[in-house]
Amino acid sequence: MIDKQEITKQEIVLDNQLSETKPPSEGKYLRRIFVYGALSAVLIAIIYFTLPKTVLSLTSLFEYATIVALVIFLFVLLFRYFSILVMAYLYINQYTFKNDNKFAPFVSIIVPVYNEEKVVKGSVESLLKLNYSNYEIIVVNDGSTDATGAVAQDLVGYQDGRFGKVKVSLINKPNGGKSRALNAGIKYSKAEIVLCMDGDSQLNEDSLVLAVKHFANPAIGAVAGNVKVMNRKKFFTDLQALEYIEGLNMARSAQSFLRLVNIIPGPIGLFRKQAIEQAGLYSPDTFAEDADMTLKILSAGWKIYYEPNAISYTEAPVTLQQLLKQRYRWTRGIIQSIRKHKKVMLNPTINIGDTFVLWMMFYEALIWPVMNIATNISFIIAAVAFGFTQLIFFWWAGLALLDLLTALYCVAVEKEEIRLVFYAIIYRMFFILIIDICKVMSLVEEFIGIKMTWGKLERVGTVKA
Amino acid sequence: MELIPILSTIILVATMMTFILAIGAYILYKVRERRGQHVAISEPSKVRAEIIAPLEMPEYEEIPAINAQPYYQPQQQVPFQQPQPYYVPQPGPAKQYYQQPSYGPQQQNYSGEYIETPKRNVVRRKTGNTEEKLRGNTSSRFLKYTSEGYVPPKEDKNQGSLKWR
Repeated sequence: MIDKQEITKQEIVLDNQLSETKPPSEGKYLRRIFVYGALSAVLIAIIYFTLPKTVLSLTSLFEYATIVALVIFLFVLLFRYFSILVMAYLYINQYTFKNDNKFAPFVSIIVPVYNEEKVVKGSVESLLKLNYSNYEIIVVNDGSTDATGAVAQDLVGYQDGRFGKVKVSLINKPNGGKSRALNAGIKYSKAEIVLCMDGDSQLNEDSLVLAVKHFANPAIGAVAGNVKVMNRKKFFTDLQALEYIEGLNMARSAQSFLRLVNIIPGPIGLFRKQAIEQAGLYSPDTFAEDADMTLKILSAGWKIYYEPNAISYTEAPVTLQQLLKQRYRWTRGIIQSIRKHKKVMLNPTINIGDTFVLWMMFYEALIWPVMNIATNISFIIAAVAFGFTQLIFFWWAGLALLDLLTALYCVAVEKEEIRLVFYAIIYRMFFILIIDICKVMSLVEEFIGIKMTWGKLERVGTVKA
Repeated sequence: MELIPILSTIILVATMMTFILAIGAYILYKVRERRGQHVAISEPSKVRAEIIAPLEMPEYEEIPAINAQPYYQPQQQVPFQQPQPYYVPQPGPAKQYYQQPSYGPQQQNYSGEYIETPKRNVVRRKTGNTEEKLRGNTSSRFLKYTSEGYVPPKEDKNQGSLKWR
């Protein structure tokens, strides 16, 4: 299918775009720990000394505090669930009645790869089957240390696409992270629309044609696609498949109803080049470059849409270690993005949509995991210390029923595998708890400023052409 | 024995185990991460990269930018209609307007037949060309301007030699 052709090699100089923000110094971490530790100690001392002067004992204070916290938690949980479901339902209805248009501009698909020798060929070959005629593929080899460069070079040329020849180019650059690799591809591209994806992802045939049509509206700066787990039939990957459907895609549908999608996923995101240039390209100073880019596009005044039928299949982490590594990076990256845009967060007059999105992200990344862990801890304490063992069962049964119904609805909407619904029984009590513990740990580490590096998932090569 | 206390105990134990598992896995991850950490190297502001692209092939550039088959519906052929002028000529004594083809959106419905654009009948001033022609025909360097244009001057034999006034 892929034949060798005459190629040209050209050397270019790329802007390495150094980090815009400096990490805080070691002294600053210690000062933060000291200040917040002292404040906590003062609060405990106030409670300890003032409590005997009230009618409450320490036990009753704990009980009342737990009950109030649980009521608040339950209210927030139900409000969050139903608002997402209602908005997602309205969006799906709105989407169903929309007419198709024939907007088909030239698109550059940018595939950043780093040590993806097992999957790069499959990824590019899957892109050649796209149901679209007017596009090119730019593979950006981000200083891979394996045979990725050689495998990618064999793909360079005019390859047979579904409707004619498709130009495949390669950019070899020193390792600098995904954001710099994407920037190199965007700068080289001459297209009006760029599709940024991961090297290990596979797009379905209609992804491009369905996502691109939204750009007919000049207010749309970017379109987020629907990410699905490719390597299923394993315990952790099945749970993630459910999470992607129920937790991420449904929330994205709800956000799209307001045209305020908060994260354009890395495996499939389409951008108007004008919007991405206006946002100042990808910044390498956060570990969630997709979240940061989304916030920058929103603050530039563009709208972001979600296309549920533009599907990208991605390899999910198989082991718990890999999963924690991924979520650790996501959480810290999101917190870094929030911190970077804190001015907009605190000042709604700059861009009210962006402010709303930032507060939602803050809630999802910080407040919600803390609340979930605190609730579970209080149940354990109530059961072990006070003998309220049955309380935890009713709590679990209520949440499991809610999750089960939501999963059923989401699976039906996305026409997904019905067997995933049964994972909803352990979804909140097991999977979400692990994820939330990881989120809180990441939050603490980000807060005290512990250095982190990019984690590279080991690919098993599920991507096949 | 009742079912609810048993299930409650199972859930309680499972929740506690999940806590221990998550924290343990996290600590393990951090330990492994620390072992594999590299020393940060200062990065240059510019880096060299290499672009490998195929040679330009003109025949491939002519691929029409149409949409994919299931989504592409061919335009319905509309019978050819004589394009109407945007300007409707009004009767007037002095000016004459030429019927121009319209360049509005209805033009995309043409069936492809070539139509010659009407040409303007430009009335040129006769000065330059006529002057040169006449100059070519006559030996005189000078021309006389009359109501009929430039004409070669007739020699006035009665006048005799040129007289200065």
